Amino acid sequence: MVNPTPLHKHSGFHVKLGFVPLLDSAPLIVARELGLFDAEGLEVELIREESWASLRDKVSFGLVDGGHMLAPMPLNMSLAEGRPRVPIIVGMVLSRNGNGITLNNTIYNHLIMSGAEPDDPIATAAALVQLAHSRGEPIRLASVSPWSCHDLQLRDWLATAGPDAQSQVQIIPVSPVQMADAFRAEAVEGCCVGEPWNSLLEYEQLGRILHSGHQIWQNAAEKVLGMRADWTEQHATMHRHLIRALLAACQWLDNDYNHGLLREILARPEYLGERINALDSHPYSLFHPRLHQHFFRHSANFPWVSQGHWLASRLASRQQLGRVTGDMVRQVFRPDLFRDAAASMGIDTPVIDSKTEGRHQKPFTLSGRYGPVRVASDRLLGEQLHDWKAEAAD
Amino acid sequence: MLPTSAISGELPRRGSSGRLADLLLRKQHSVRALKEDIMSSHNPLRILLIDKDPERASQVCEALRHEGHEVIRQRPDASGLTAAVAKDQPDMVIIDMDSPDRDTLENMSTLNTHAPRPIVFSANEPCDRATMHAAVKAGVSAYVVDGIQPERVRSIIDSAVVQFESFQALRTELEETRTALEDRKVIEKAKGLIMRHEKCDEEAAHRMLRSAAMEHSERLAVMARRVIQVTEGKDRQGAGSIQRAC
Repeated sequence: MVNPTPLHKHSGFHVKLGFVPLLDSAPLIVARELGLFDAEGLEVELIREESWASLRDKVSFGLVDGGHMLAPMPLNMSLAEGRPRVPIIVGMVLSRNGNGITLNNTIYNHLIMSGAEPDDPIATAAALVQLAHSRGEPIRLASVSPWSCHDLQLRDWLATAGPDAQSQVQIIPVSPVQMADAFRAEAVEGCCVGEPWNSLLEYEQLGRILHSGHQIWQNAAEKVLGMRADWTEQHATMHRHLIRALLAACQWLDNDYNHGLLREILARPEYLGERINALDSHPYSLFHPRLHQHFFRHSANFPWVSQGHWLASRLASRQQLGRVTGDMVRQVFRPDLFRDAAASMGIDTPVIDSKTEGRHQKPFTLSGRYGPVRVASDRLLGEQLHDWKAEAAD
Repeated sequence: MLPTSAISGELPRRGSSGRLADLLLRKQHSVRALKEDIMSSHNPLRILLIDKDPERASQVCEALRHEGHEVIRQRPDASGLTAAVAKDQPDMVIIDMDSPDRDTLENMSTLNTHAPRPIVFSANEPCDRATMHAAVKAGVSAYVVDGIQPERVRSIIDSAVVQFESFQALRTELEETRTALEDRKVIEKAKGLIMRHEKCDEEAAHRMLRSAAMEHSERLAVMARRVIQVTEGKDRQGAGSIQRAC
């Protein structure tokens, strides 16, 4: 499919959005390609960034208005201490899950041989530390970007093995495009990354997915729409239109029938490029079934204040943020803005902004404005409960 | 670094050489201290340069070496940036904004307190916002270890920005020339097609094309492409009119 030269220029409100070419940047790409931005009167310029750091810098210096962001990123930008703050507004979640912990074949097989239950992250973390002990050399795992769910999930998983994990597992920063090379050279023995990288490592038979991010934090907010706060204040109506367009794109993405077309679109050089075509011969097609990546169902797009606070608490545990109060998170995660935009499209949302994270083992029902609303389960590794009210007391 | 005696102003131990000798010694010390002070601010900095564009990297490299710095050029491989930074211990890293390695550097700075930190968020603000804005706009990003004098950091960033900008200007100019050439070819082709289909002369064909472009408020070349598209389609289908395209 070729991208035709448009015969008529669409005139609309100009917005510049940055994205990093990952599978979960699909909502922005789809909204543009299906004309969903046009339908909302927006003329969106998508700017591809090769790193989150570049996206952050361009947002900070006003070269783009906002974009596709790692869920912890807006908290890190808005609430940082000891450096300039850039207030960011999260009006919606773009995707949930999609991360994987992938180990090279040697380590993976060792873990299985050790008798650890491969589906139990606590057992595997302990077995991994045990393996490091017995071979007398730390396990080398790669982490992709700081202030990301990948990094925080990897550390939460390892932390279940006790304080010993710190000395027995070495964490090395590696960029995802170099991950396959790093696996080949045995510079790293495992990693936690987003899609399509786990699937591509499996496809090249360099490793196996051991766990999904879903097993660490079930249905966690993975990517969000982060816009500069001053932009959202000046262009409140346009922000609502932007959320509406992306919400329609997310709804389209959750329909399996659309994935063939989606792959064609994503494979274009200006988006993810040809490498995505490798997933064609992958038995699972575009979305790996173990990773539970989704975009719309079970109120996926609702920006829970309690989930924002959970992420902030994880960042604080890594000394990346100081103590974060509920009010501070409320300035960033804005369910009120999402609720209005969704209601204007006939999509119902929960009436509450926060819940106890970790309490729900199965999808459950909450009251919406107009009727019952389904919400995804939110189990946290090690049966942790993030009692938002107690934790976020001001 | 200054010797501690110079910093504290400590005198050498008084001996039998007397007061005058002491004074002389003292003076010698302060002269040496002053010299060392001047030297240290001109010590070459070790700069790790990462740029996937080899031509631009050469330009930046040359400019920084000219200023007396030691520049290490690096093409990251599987052993990774982490290993390179550990081995070379640069005072500063200059990296092009389009490199995926930026996240690796960010991660290193959160893991290791000795690793270079992103300059945009450096705690002691070695750069003013205008310098940083120019750098981000030009596509230069920088990481610096703690304790380097702000003026030196700024001057290095400024040089890199100048090189990046001049390189970009050259590239834009090349691109514009190429487009202009391409446009001219397309316009000529469209005029030829109009002349053939409408059986008119070149001037009339040009007038037709120009008025159509004005009417649609499009560039002449864009209109010409449309004419070619429609006419070629028409040749295949054998129906329609070139005027419809205009």
